[in-house]
Amino acid sequence: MSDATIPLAADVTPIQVQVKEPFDALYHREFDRMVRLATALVDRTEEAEEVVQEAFAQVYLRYRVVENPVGYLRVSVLNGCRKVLRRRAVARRWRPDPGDTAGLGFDHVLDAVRRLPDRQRRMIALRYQLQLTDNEIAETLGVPVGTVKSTIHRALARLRTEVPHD
Amino acid sequence: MTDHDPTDPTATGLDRMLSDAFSGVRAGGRRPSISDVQRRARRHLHRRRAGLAVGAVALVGAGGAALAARDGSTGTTAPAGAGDLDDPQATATFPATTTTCVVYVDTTTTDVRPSDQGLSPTSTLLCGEVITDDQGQYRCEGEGRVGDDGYTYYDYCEQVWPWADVTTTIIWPEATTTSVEYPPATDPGLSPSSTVPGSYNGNTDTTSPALLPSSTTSAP
Repeated sequence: MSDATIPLAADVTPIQVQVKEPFDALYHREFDRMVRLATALVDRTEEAEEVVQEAFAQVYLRYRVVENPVGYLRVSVLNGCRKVLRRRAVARRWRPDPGDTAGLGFDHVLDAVRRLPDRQRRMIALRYQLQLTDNEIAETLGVPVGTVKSTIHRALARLRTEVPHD
Repeated sequence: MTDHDPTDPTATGLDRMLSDAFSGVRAGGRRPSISDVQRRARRHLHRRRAGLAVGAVALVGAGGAALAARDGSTGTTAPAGAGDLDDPQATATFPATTTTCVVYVDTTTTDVRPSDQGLSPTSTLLCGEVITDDQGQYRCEGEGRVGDDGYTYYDYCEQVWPWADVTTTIIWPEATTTSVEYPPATDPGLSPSSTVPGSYNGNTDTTSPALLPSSTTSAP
């Protein structure tokens, strides 16, 4: 088949149609990234994979109607991680279990990130794990760019006090 | 403040530490298959619908109890056996039950698709409605209702053929609405009213397994 280009009339404005990628393409491309994101936040691979699978199931249920599946997926993963951390905190409060920390990592930087308030933790994770720009973070979380900048500024200020650095 | 650039040479020590810490996180070695995700999503949907059914029954029960109490307060006694399904006098309303359809693979009843078991789709029998259009085949549950737009709406539909194209299978209604839609059957031999469940292949029994249409049993 030839690849001829049909010239448009001068008064015709071409329209651009955005075709949503198939779900399986999204799944294969984003799964590992999302697991890394979740692992950085919950620190247990099994729980991270569980969170990510749940998030993909949620996206799958709404894939046809969600405009930005990647953003929806990211937020679903972050919400899932928050649930895990909250559950873990409640369990520790009511039933201190020495075995509870078994298998957790000892990266003091990530530990400090996990202790941040939820909104700061989300933005730090999106910036440093997924390498998103401030604009992309704002778009993902549905907040103004200024909020992203100020929140990350506060998060970094807090981390500076907790993490020794040069 | 400018956007974050991980390659920025002026990045602070904390910046670098954070970048290093996050980049050191590794993903697990196991990635579940797409069908695992789909199965999980289906479980969500079924749980949600089951919860709604329980809620509806509870509401009906509570309403009935309130009515009975009101009748009692005005001196009217509820007839014995009211609400009993066997009692023809019983007037309690129960929500319509939804037939759960599963895919039959040989003699095994399972919700695993035949392709997952290495079987040809031609060996599949489906319980429930199978409807064909130019996008593929769909298995639907619930009562089909023809809308003003000429489309038939079902409570739930799942594409059974072709299985690979998941983008057209996501027809998940919100729990309280019926938003599943697809064009009427394209078989020229069928009238538009033939989109009512159970009418494909002339099979009007929605509870018995219906064979896949022979015209679509070839491999893709």
